[in-house]
Amino acid sequence: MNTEVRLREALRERADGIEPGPDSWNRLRSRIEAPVVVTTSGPRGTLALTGVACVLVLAFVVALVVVGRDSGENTRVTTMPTAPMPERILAVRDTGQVVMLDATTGQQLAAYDVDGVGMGTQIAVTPDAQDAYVVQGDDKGCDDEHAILRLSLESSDRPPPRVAAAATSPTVSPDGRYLAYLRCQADGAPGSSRPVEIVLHDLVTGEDRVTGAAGGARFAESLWFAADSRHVAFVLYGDASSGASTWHELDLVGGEAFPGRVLPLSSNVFWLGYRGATSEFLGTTDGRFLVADSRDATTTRRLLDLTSAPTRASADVSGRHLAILDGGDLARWSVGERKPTKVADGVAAAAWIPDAAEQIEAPASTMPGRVIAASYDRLVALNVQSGSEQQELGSFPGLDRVSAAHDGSTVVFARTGALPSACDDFIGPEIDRLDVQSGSTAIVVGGSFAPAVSPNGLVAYGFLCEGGTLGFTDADGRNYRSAPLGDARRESSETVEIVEPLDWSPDGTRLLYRIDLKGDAIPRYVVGRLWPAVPQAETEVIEVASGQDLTGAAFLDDETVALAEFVGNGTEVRSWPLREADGAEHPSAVLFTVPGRVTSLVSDPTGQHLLAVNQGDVLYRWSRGDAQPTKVADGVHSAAWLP
Amino acid sequence: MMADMTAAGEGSTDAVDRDARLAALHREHYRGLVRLACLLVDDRGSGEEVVQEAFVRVHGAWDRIDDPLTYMRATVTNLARSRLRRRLVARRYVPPETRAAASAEDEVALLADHAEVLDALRALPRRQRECLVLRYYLDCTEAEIAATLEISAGSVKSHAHRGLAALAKRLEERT
Repeated sequence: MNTEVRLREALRERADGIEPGPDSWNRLRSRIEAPVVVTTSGPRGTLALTGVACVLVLAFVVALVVVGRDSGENTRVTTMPTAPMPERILAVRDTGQVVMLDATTGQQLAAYDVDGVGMGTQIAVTPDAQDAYVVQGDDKGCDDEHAILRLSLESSDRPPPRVAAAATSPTVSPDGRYLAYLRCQADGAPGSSRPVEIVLHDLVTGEDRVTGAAGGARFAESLWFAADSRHVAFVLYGDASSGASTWHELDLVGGEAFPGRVLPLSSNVFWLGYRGATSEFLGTTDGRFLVADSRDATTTRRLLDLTSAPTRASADVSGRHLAILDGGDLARWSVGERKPTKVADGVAAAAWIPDAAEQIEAPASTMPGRVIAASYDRLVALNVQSGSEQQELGSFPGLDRVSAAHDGSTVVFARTGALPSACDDFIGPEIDRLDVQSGSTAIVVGGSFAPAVSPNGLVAYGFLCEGGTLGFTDADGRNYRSAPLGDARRESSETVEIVEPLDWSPDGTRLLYRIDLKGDAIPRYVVGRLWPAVPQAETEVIEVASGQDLTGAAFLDDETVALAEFVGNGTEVRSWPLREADGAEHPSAVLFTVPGRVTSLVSDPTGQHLLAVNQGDVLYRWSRGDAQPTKVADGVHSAAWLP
Repeated sequence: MMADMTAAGEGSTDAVDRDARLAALHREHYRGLVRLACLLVDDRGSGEEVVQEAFVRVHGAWDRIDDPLTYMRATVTNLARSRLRRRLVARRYVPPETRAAASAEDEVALLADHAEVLDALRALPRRQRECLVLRYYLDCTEAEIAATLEISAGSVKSHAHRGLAALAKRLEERT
């Protein structure tokens, strides 16, 4: 008999015997009128599903952070995604001597012929790493004995020249054009002086422009150029009545009237200045580093916890690396590290020396030229500009998700395997690895789905038959398995039904994944630092968001994810920083909108270029600066960038 | 009671109209949707839950919907997909000996031939399975299937063609 006829008859016989349960309309009305908040209960007590952290803390360790607000416009200058740590630090010893240190080992590389540099004073290094400006004089006040010296970093043969007298707090603009500092004046008390004006010195023309503190405003000794090389930030002491100090931001180059705008930074935090050449401020409180976006400084984000309160710290240009001073000890810390590493002791001030002329904003990266795509059962390489097929890489039944490492060295994909799965009647899926050069494939693991390969070649996946478990296979073929989320014998064990990896952070330490909870129609999006990507003692989980209809997610950089939310007539893609909550989730700015429901979102290593696949099997690409996405090809249900 | 519910900014007349249309949708299509869902998830209990959830979502998205029936079918298909994944996993936590035997209500006595066909259908990739069910059970046109699954008509053709070919091949291997 004809297959179509047999199929039709079989379906009808199967379905026509099915009748809905009684009273379906009233049941439906009850659900619509009184939405149920599902809770689960288990041996540890009642858990609210909205507090996913409780579930996750059962299996994982350490802090939970949920998404806070990012109300800044979409031009926020963020830390550069992959800036390496500078190799050198300029430091002032507690003897007043200025030295250059190796940032990794603390070894002294050079010493400069200048003494009496004030301990705890500001150091400014030019972006071309040729010169540094330091303050000579003791820590108290800034009278005529205090001077700003220009140090040539390449030569320590002669005493450095004075560039300004009775001055303090030098800062160099990120574009290297200007030096700004505070100039002091006697304030009437014997032997006492204080900063009274900001001097903008043009390093190209040699001209100075002075901005005085109007109305008797009193500067604290702190001045910082902003990332735009126009604004500076500084502190004004409060008057006798209020007593509170305030941070200000002033367009110094543009000649804005003093004192500029007040930055709404929390008064409970000791703010240190800009976080490198970014728009964020760096501060400390209770032994913890925090950052706040200077354009919306009402919320703060936790950066690093310390065992003791640091004296001060400075960030490199990228903002990803800190030089931290604590009681004479100099330590360094980079984003992604659990704790700082001591570099040297007997240090009173420090600043990073740039390795090269670093750019202020994340460099505009070249879009990868190719995409590897799953098109029905075919794996193909497409030209991302034209959408044309460049190469067919194989045909695989049940071809599903494809994932590629950022350098294209590893490509993995899910497909229908050859064997039945262990837990049901379906043919089990498996994950294969593809050698793009030769076209050969090899199985990675069976009974698994949704592979995501890290920049280090570590493949994460979900298990079909053990839904609440994550699996990993490294580049050497060793398999790992995450601790099961719950005990199969306990009622609470069925809380997490499925864990599905989505994407890895550029530094390869964080995995973004989606979890489905039993009885809850809304999946949760979570970022985890998990073993074996990090040591077990460093595992940490962060819930990212739980919007109504989130359908895709990807990392833009180590601290920011892009989330796709279906809004009825299309999908909006937004960026969500991983930050501390203000008690509620707030949507971020929309990056772009895709027609239809997005099923997959993939970013390139720089976070500048994204791929989106919608349920119509249409592949789109979008790059920062584009008003809307560009269609690449039809008939694609999964894709990844291929350099 | 439902007539008293209003969305923000919505007049009571709109709410009444929405509720009436939703009731009509339920009256005319609920059974068919439950049967569709059961075919997709292969489980009657889950199938009806899927359709109930779909109605709740349609109610919430009513203002944005042009074609409620197509939207409903699409939602049922999407939820069935999710439910299928979860069901496969949930079985892992229930020891085989404690699983309830299928009741007479759940298990329809099928002709041996039909059981074979449905077995083969289950082994197909999801998209092919969905296209075939919509086409050969609901008799949807290519355009209707495309709208339900939010894919192109070309994709529907391709999935249906490949699915049927794979089905025929499996059935041939079994005879």
